[in-house]
Amino acid sequence: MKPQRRAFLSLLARASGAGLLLTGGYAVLHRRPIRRGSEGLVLPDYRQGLESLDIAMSAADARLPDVGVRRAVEALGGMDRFVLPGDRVLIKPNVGFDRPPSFGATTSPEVVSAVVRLCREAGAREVWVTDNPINNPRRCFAVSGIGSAAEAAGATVLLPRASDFGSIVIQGEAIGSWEGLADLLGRADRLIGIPTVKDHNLAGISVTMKNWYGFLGTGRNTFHQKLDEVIADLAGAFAPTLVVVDGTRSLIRNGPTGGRASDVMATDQVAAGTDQVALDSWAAELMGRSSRAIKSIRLAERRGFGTSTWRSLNPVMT
Amino acid sequence: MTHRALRRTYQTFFLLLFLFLLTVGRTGWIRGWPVDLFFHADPLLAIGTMLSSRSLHGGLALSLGVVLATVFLGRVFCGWVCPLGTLNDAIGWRGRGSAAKQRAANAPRALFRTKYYLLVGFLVAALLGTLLAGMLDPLSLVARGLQTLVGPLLAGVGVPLFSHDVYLPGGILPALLLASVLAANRFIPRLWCKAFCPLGALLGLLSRYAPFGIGRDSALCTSCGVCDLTCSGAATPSAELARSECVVCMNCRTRCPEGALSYGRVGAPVPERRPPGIDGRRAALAAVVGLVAWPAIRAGSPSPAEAAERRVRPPGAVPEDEFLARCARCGLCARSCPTGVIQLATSEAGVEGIWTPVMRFDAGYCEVSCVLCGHVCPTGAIQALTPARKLGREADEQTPVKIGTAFYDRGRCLPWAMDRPCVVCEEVCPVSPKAIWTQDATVQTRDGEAITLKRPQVDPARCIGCGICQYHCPVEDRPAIRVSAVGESRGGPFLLS
Repeated sequence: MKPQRRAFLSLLARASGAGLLLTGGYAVLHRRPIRRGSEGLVLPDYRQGLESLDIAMSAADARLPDVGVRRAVEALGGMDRFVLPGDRVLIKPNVGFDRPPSFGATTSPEVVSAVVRLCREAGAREVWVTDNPINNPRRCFAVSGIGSAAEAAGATVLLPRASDFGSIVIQGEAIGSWEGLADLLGRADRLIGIPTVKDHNLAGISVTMKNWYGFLGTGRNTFHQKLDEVIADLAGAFAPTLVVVDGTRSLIRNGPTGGRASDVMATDQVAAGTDQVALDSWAAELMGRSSRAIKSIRLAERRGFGTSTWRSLNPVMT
Repeated sequence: MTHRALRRTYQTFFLLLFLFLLTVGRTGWIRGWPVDLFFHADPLLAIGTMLSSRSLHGGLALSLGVVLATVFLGRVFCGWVCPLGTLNDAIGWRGRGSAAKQRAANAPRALFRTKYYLLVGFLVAALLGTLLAGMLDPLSLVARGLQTLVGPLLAGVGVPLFSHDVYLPGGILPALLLASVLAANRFIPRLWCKAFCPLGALLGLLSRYAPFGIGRDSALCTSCGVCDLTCSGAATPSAELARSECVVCMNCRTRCPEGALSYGRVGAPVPERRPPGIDGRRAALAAVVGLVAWPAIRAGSPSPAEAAERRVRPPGAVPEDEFLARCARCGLCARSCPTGVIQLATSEAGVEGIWTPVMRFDAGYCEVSCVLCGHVCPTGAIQALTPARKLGREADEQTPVKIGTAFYDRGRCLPWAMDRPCVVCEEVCPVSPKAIWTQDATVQTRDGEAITLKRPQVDPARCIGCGICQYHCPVEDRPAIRVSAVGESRGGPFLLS
C-alpha cells in the first residue's frame, strides 16, 4: 500500500505545484489596475511652462477644415505657443458614437488630423488620441474615421484598456474623485480638446466642457441626475492646453447621437482658445441658441471658469 | 514520411487553421476570413438543416466534398481533418501502459453504438423541425467549448478571443462538455469519437461501402495483434476491419511488423458483425425515443409569453421555428459581437434552444450599425444584413429591423419613481428621431420645492430593441427600462398601426 500512497502524494504535490504556478502566472498577467486611493490623480495644469496668450480666442471659416484649423491656431500665435518640442500631447476628440462623420455625432476626422499635424510640426514627441466612448471603442474609432485620420497624420490611437483606468480627482460640487483614464492623463504634458458642436436633450448642448466626460469611466451614467453641475465640475477640473471646437458641422437636433443627415447643419466654422465657457457660448450661438439658456454655462461662469460673453475676449475672426 | 506522420501533418494543419479562423472571428479581426469554412464543410449540419428546414443554405454545399471523400476513402475527415479528433489524439494516452492495457483501451465495446442512436435521434428531431444535432456536433462543440473554456483565460492574459469584456453567463456548461470530452481520453482514447460523435456516426454510415480502405494481406499476417493496440477507431484491423469505425489513422499500417496492412482498394465488405454494427431494433427504438422526446421537449419549453420576455434573438434572425431548424449552436455570432450582447442560451430558449444565441442586455447591447453576426452565421439562422437594411432607409420606405421593444418600469425609473433627473436612456438611444422622448413634468418634492423633470417615454414605432437604454440604465440590478422580444420584426405587431 505504502508506495502507492507515496506516489499519490507525490502526484498531488506536483499537480498542486503546477496549479499554483499557472494561477500565479495568470494573476500576475491579469492584474487589476491599482487604484490611487480615494485621492487619485490630481490633474495638472496642462498650460504649465507656457507663456500667457495675447489673444485668448479665435474663430475661422472652415469650409476647408485643415485651412480653418491652421488659421484659428495661427491667430492665437501658432501651435508653438501650446506645444513645446518633446512634449507628449494627449488629444481628446469626441469619438463617443459608432457613427459616420456626416452624422455630426463625432468630431470631423479632418479637424482631428489638422490638429495632430500642427502638434507634430511643433515638435511633439508623441501625440495620443483617445476617448472612452458610449459605443464599442474599436467601432467608434473606425466608423467615425478618426482612427485612421489620426494615425495617418502621425498620432497614436489609444483605445481604452482596463489598465489605463484609475481614480482622478475632480473635486467639484457634484462629484469628488472618479474612475477615468488616469494613466494617460498623468503621463501627458499637454491636453488638447477637440469637441464637436452638438445638441443634447438634458444639457442643452454638448461641446467643450461635456467632452471631458469621455475621460471618465464606470458609473458615469449617474451623472445625469445632476448633469449641469457635473459638466461645470469637469470644466473646473480640466485645464487644457488648448481647445479647438469643430463647428464644421453642428448636430442641431436628436443629439447627442443624431442618425439622420437632416439632424446636421453645415456651420463651417472652427474656434480655438482656452476659455471653455466662452467656447461653449460661441458654439451655442453657432447653433442659433442663447448661451443664457444653457445651465452648465451659467454654472461654470458663476464659478469663475470663464466668461459666457465670448466677444469680450476680442476674438480674432478670420 | 510514414503514413502516420503524413496524417499528423494534415491534422496539425487543419487544427491550426481551425484555431486561426476561430481566433479571427471577432470584431476587427474578421476582415474577409471565411470564419464559417469548417462549418460549411460539416455534412451533419448540411443534412440536418436539409431535413429540418427543407432547404440547403448556400455555403453548406461545401460539405458535399466531405461526403464524397467519405463515400470513397472512408472516415478521413475524422482521422485527418476534424479539430476535435485531433485534440483527442493529441491528449489521448494511447501509448501508455502495457500491451494488455492498450489492447483493452482500444477494444470495441457495445457502448460505441451509442453514436448511431444519437444520430438517428438527432435526424428525427431535425425532421420534426429542430436542429438539436448542433448540441453535439463536434465542430460546434469544440468552437463553443474553446470559447468558454479558454476564452476567459486568454482575455486575462491580454489575448482576448472576444472583442468585449469576457462575461459569459452559463458558459460553464459548454466549457465542461468540452473538458469532459477531452478528459475522457484518459480512459479510452477518442472515446468521444468512438461512442458519441453524431458526425462520426454519419460519416461511418457513409463509409460503410467505401472502395478504399485498410486491407490486410492474410498471407503475411502472423496474427500478432499489434495493430489493435493503437487503433484510433477500435476497428480491430487484426481481424475483419469494421470499416465504419475506421478513421484511417494509419497507426496499424505503420505499426505492422510484417507489412501486412495497407491502404488501398478493398473488396466488398463482409457484413459487420461486431458491436459497432447498428442493431435495427435499437435504431428504431432511438427513432421512437426521438419521436416521444421531441414533443415533450417542445411542450416543456418556455411559453410564448416567457419566451417573448427572455428570448430576444440577434438582428436578422429568421422566424423562431426556422431559427431552431437552422441554428448550429456554434457560437460564432457570439464571438463576432462587439459588445457581448449575444450569449449562448442556458434556459432562456428552453431545452430545445440550449446554446442558441440570445440577446442578454445585461452583458451588452446591439451596436446600431453592426451586422457581423449575420455574416458569420454558417447556416443562415441569422441572415446577413447590410447596415442600410438593418437601419431601414426612409427613402425606400424600409422599416428598420426590430429585435424587440423597450418598456419602462416606472416604479424603478428615477424621474418617474424618485423625481430625480436622469434620461441616460434618451441620450444613448441611437435612432433618429429618438425612440425615447421626454415630457416635461413639474412636480413638488418632499421639501415642497417645485422642480421640472424630463420623464422618458418609448415610442414603440421608433424603437428597434437594441437595448442600449437598458445597458446604460443606472438602476443596475433590474433596469428601469427593459427590452423584450415583443414587436420584433420576425413576429406579429403588438400595436395596431
